[in-house]
Amino acid sequence: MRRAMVASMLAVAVAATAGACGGDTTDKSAGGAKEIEVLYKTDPTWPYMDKVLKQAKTDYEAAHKGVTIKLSPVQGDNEVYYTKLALLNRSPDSAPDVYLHDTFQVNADVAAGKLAPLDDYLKTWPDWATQYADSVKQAAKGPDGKIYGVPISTDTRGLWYNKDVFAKAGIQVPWEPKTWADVLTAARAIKAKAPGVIPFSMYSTKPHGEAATMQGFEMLLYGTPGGTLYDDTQKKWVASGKGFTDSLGFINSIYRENLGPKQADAFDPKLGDKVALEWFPEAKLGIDLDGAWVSSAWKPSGTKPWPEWTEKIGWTPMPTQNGEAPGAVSMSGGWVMAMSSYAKDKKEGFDFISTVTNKKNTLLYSVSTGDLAPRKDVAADPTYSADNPAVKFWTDLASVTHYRPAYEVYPKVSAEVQKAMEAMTTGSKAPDAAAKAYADSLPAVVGGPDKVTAGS
Amino acid sequence: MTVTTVTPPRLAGSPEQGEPRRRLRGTLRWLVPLGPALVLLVIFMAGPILWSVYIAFTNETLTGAASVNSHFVGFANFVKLFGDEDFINSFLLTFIFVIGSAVIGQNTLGLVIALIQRGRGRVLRGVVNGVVIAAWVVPEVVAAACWYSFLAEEGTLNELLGSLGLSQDWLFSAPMLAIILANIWRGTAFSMLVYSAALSDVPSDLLEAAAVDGASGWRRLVHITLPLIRRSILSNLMLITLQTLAAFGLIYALTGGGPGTASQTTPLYMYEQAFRYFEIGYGSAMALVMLVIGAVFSLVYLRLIKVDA
Amino acid sequence: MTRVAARTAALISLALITLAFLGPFVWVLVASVQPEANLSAKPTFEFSFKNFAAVLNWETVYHPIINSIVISGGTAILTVVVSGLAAYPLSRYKLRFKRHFMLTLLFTTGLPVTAIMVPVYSMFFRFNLYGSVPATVLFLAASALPFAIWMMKNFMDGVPVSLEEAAWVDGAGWVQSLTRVVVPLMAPGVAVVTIFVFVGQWGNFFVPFVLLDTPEKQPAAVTIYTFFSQYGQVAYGELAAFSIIYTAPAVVLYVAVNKYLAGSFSFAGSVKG
Repeated sequence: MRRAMVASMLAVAVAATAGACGGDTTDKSAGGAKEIEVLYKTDPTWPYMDKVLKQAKTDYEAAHKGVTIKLSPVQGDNEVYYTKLALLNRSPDSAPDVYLHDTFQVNADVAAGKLAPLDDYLKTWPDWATQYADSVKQAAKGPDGKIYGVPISTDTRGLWYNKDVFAKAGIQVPWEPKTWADVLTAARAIKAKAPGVIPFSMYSTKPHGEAATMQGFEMLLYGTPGGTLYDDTQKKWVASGKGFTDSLGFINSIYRENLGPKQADAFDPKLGDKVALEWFPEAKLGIDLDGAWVSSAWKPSGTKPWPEWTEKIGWTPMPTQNGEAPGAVSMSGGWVMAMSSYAKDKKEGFDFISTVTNKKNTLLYSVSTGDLAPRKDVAADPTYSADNPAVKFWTDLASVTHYRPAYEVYPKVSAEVQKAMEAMTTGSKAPDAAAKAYADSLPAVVGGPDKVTAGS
Repeated sequence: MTVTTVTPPRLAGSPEQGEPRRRLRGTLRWLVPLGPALVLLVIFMAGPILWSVYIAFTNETLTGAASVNSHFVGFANFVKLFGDEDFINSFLLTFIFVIGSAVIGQNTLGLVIALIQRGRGRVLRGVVNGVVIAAWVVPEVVAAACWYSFLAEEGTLNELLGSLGLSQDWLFSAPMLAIILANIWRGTAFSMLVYSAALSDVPSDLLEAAAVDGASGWRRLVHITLPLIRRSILSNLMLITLQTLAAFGLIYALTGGGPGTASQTTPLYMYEQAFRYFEIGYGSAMALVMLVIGAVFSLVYLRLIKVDA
Repeated sequence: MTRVAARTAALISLALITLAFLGPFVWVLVASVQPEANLSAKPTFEFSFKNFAAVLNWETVYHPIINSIVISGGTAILTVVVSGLAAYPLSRYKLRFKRHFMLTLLFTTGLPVTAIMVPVYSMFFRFNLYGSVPATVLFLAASALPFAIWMMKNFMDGVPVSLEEAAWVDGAGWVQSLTRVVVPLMAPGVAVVTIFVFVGQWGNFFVPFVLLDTPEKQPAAVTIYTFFSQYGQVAYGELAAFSIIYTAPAVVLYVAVNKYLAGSFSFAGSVKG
């Protein structure tokens, strides 16, 4: 009888564990019907990808009988999405088959063997050869030269400003700052003459993660003479040099002179929403260093329709530090549709990727998000630029744009940059001290002092 | 479970009869009921602790190349740990947090409330206890939401202080003070209950006799009451220190460790390294250090209470 | 200082302490019934249940609360059954290792759970348990066990052995004497342990936050955090309403076992001698 009891307990334990193991493995191939799980991000203020994928799912399922698309949205901002994706990707059972992927993370996942190369499938897809420029194709190219994702969007970054605020501050529009000093001068004028208005907003804290590094810091660093995080010729990471310290100095000026958002907002993960949904429409913000997509919220289909924005809001390139050639700076990233190396039905998976990135769906995505279109036929489509007078400006910034050194260790380097920026935001360190801390931590982060070169 | 058994258990069962079958029976008699607990404790408590000892010496991560082939790195994680200024910062903040909110805050306030409540009417005690315990019963995220509205720039406290010109964004100007106050608020009930129980065991005739002899209230407290509840004080201190050392949810929801790293105690730093940057090896090294500190306090606590098990 | 003055001083300090403890509750309670409440709004005399209506839907409240009930309830039941079984030999038999075992359990209650989470998390990945609700419940039960076994044993020690002896004479085994004699007599104790574990897990934020992957599995403790960080400033009234709904069961259950809890505190604060 005791044995019966032990046995029953064991049975319970086994059942529990079995249930546990089976927890998330959905019946991917049950009954011969195929299922492709698609992971992507969504948010109450950013519902666009959700719309595109639902449209693509309908199209795809109509054309491919017997295959279902299981859409798995992740609620939250980019940082939440990166975390969730990385965790699900840990095991073949939980990994989604197809997912929206930020280009800067592609190399890390290629190194870990999480992504499937798409070259074989791309050969059979005529659009790849005809509709994507060579520069766009690089977006998700691995260190091995293979392609690991089809771009759904690309972007550029620059300055947005509120013309009403500028009028109050007595600054002439169109505003064309030539140097960082011009930007600071404008911000100081706003602070002096437009009380209650935040002169300048940028992302500069850890809660904004990669957005702080890219929209904030790199937009400054890559506009300093020789400023870069990674030296391509030496193949080494660059420890802080003058450009690095000066970039931190710019952020330091913003916060020490109270030209930026107050601390609570600088640390608010929803800062981007505040800028687009509240501060710009209510003329509470002068200048915003941000991406091409900010205006998407103001479209009739956006989360905060604001038809007057085309008159109230201006846009201009972020100048280089002292007006060095080419005079302006921009950073580009973007998102691709990628496929897991664990995906069982890769052919079907790729077919879905090509459905999401076809002209119709890319157009829907580009028009609603304000991101730049990676496809030539979409860029040429009249509806693409119809109600967005800024789109040509942002597209043209591609001529001065830079790309991140998206190597495997980049996310960790980015985290160190955020630490330095945050010290500027709170004022806990002086710029040169924070730059030194960055230089000190770099060797451990990138895998040894031999992978680091002194900054210029 | 409806399994029945026919052998009656013996109370003073000593399995020393020498016969192997009997001994086996004797063993089974306690092993069967104790078994499930042992299995759970070994797999989910002892297992992870031993596991952390192992991975603290590897470069285990969840992403990148090290996620597929992590390897032994010796003491590298610990060397990095003690040279990491963010870790040292978090360690100091944890120390301040424990001393400020537990040792000084909760402990003293709990004792004071228990002392001045003694001998008061039932209604009064009920109200005071009710409010203090309410703060203890609310889940930590709700406690954070309460304190957020209380300390925020346009929050309750600033509404009250507004006329004095003292209003500020407390969560940003004084984040450590904010989390210390919030944790005192949330944890005082525990100390109060411990001390109320201890004080009820202090014989009142002893205190009355001292009062008749002309001893002041303060003298009675210092010379009679406190020595009598000495052991309760020490054990309470140990327990709340251990709880506060591990505090996470309240700080995470209230300040997120920020601004910057201004309120990033060790559990929060460990969370960031292990669960945000996926540095599992490094995070485990930190976890191990915390476990060792916890173990030391826990041992001191065991010594103190000399529990009769 | 006269007696009256001392009494007045004591009453005033009690009043001040009570007010200070009430302070942080004020805006949550007020905002929950104010239609347009946000963090910066001034209190008004408007009264409405709009905020409650706004959050009482499947996604915001019902589903997470059901998850909380499943996770906390599962943990409580498992813990009570396992600790009840374990407490029996510890309370009734003379065992050589007993003292060491009980001390080890007490020692375990002191270890910082936060620190154990890193290896647990890594283990869950290794064994493919990440995101599994049953595995999370097993872990939660294991973490609640040391204290539960202690409480159970204390309650069981209070049931006189003589009552069981009668059952043994009738030929009952230990399972029968445990279920028919001991458990009914220590029913209040079992209730205390159940509620203690349930309330503890009801408020547990960190463990499910770390071990469960998708929002559909998360208990209210985690969804309320998400709600807090996403809408805390703009929809404070709704957050307050959600907070009250989520806190209510914990308060009710606590009140239910309140009078039995005093006993466990004199234990926590040390046993004399």
